[in-house]
Amino acid sequence: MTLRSRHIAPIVLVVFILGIGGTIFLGLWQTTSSKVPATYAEGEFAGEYNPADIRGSYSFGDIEEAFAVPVAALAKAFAVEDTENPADFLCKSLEDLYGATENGEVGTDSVRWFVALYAGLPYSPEEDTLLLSPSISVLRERLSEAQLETVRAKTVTVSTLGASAAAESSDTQTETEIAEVKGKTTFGELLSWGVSKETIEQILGLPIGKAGDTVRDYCIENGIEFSTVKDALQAAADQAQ
Amino acid sequence: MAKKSTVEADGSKSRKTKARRVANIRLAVQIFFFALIALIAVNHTLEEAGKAIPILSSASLHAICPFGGVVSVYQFITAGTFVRKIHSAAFILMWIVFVLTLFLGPVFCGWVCPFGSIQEWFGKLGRKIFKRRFNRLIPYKVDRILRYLRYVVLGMIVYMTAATGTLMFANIDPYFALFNFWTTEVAIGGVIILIAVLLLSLLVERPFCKYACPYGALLGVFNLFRIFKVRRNRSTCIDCKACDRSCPMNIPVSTGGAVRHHQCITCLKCTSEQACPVEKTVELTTIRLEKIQQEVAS
Repeated sequence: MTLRSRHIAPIVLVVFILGIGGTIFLGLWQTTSSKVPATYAEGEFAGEYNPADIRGSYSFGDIEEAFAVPVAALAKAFAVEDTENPADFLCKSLEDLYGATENGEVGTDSVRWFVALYAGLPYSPEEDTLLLSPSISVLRERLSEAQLETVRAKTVTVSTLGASAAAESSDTQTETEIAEVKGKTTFGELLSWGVSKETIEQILGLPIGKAGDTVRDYCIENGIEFSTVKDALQAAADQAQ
Repeated sequence: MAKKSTVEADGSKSRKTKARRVANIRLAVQIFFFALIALIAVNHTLEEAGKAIPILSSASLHAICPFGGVVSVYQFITAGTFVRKIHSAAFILMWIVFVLTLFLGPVFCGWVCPFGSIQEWFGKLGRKIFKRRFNRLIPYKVDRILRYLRYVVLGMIVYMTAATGTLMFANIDPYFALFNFWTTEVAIGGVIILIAVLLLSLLVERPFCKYACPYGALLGVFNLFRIFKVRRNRSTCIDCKACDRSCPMNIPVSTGGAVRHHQCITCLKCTSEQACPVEKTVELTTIRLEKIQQEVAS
């Protein structure tokens, strides 16, 4: 039997179409993760979902479903509360948002580590994996002081990451890159710079506002002159740096 | 005499036209797959921005690369899972390509692989620049040794991926860089290698396929036992070496009966459809051409 080019072309196309079409029909064709993480194979946690299998394509919603870590906790820990729908936020987007610095990286592995800490599961993060400072306030009640100390040593503020990125790229600086308290500064930004909730409340003399609210608007609503608290907040932000 | 040469010239012209038409069949298939993969890659980016084109797949490039299936085999056997970023689609594509290769040889390399195609298209430009020196610049002895380098690359990638469970070499993958250069997912290492390969393609035909492609290395092994082989009819061969000159992989087609060289990509450039000037002398067939000739004669 002899084949020529005019035979090969349809053969190739038909084999691909039948192969792909057939497996789609049988439900075998998958191009995305099933969002069901692998489980620990042995030991105390055998059978439980393993955070090591969290992938960049997992959204915070997927993680909540698998590990019972609330989306709100994840959004706060990674300072993305202001995004339109934090449940749809993909882990891999952290790499775009914060990127790598000479000290380490905030990315998918940070989420794995955070989830393991939150859920009390064993996980060894990569050496250069970092967490953001708001993670501390989320994890405070779940970890011992010794564990918190370990986590603190691998924690950075958003502004630190921003400053490193700016030094590397020498591009225009964005607002989050400098911890400067201004009229447009939100509570979320203050938290991401490492200013604790307690400190903010102490300065304002009020419970903290929503992460997306600007401090100035919140002050006006509550009858406080923004200029009277601005310096104190700036000092707290500088100290947190 | 003048009439005879006019007839010969007309015959040669019509043969060239026919060969060009045949070559265009493969070119059309290559363009189809190149455009399809490019569209899927663009759609993947659009999907992340919430603007995906409906109907068209928006899978990631890793998910639809059959080599992803190959590097996942170990993990699939030992743990029942795929390497990170690889899904069942890559595994299925791996089997589809294996079936095609078992019958037709590495037809995937010569007809489908978009990275092979782009090297070939750059090579066309290189041929215009360097004329006869194109694809003949590397000394034969060096070239012969370098061609086994891709088995080293294959071994390294399979071992490292099995050991780590991740696509360790994604950051230096020129194929991934080609279809993702506009995204932040691509690493600078991949872009550098991509540019180097495209520049080398101006000097050497398909340099990555010849010296570095791990998937081509694996598929190349099928050339030893593939069912349809490129075969030469020794009794009708006029020993003009046109088949040797036409082979993009520099395989000496004219020295044997059947091509079993591990680098054949089933492009069919050497066959009587294109380069070979004698009818039914170099063909893609299952049985020896001399046997067909004997059967016809008897």
